[in-house]
Amino acid sequence: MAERSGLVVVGIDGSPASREALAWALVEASAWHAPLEVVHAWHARWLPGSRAAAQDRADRLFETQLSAAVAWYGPDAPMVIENVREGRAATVLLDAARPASLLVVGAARRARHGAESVSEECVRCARCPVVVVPADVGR
Amino acid sequence: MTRSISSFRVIVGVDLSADAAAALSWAADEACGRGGELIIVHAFEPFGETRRPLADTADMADTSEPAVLYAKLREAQRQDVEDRIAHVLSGSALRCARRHYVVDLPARALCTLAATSDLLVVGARGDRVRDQLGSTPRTCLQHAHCPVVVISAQAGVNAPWREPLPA
Repeated sequence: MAERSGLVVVGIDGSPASREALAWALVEASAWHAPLEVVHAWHARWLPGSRAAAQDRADRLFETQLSAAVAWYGPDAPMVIENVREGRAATVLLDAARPASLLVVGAARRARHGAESVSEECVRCARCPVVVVPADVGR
Repeated sequence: MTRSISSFRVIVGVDLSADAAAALSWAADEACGRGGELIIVHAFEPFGETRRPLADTADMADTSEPAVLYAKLREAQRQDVEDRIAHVLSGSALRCARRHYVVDLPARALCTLAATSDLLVVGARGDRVRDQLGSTPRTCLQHAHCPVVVISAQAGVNAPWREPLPA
């Protein structure tokens, strides 16, 4: 078997597709005995209220989604590196994925004409394979 | 969130491009690592265009019946693809993989099979598109009902189309 124990990076934003992406990444990382880095990017400009409140909300969203996924996975979940950062989602993800062997993202809800979604930009720019997980996986 | 208990099924689309070879190699590793099965798909486009240079097919040119000519061209192309698959898989731990040869639009063939699979692997560019994401991966990303992986043979190489937008 080829050695592919490098870092797996997954981006989450609370959407149904990102829940599927996180679940997929947990299973993938554990199958390869690889560490998993879970990334959430937030931006004060796009959230109401003060900057501190936005950061607090981002932290809570991250914790809620991650703990739900780890609870779903059950025992022997892979090692998780937590990364909550302020910035543009695609930029933060691509930066985190620089040393990774795999980047996992949820699919955009719908195609927006003229604007590139985060998953599209990741596919276009990442230096590693990118997995795009749809919200309706397995249905 | 559904956690599949049955066999992990990986679909990979191949043509004669470098990205397809990289995709096949990655898919074979993935199938091994996840203890699943690999299905290799090659689609002949319905309207007869094949990738083989016409010089190779000079002996077929006397065939006047288009259907017979296309069948011969497809058989020759199938052999090319089969050689490529054997070459890539010789470096892999995977011992067997099912082949699917279909006459269909590649993206439609892949998305149909993806409906009953756990992962779809495609190369970023086919053998005609050079400087952007190919139409097949683009369509698969939009329509497949399973996770889609896009593989580029040039990972790590600074290809011009891989420049990110400014932050």
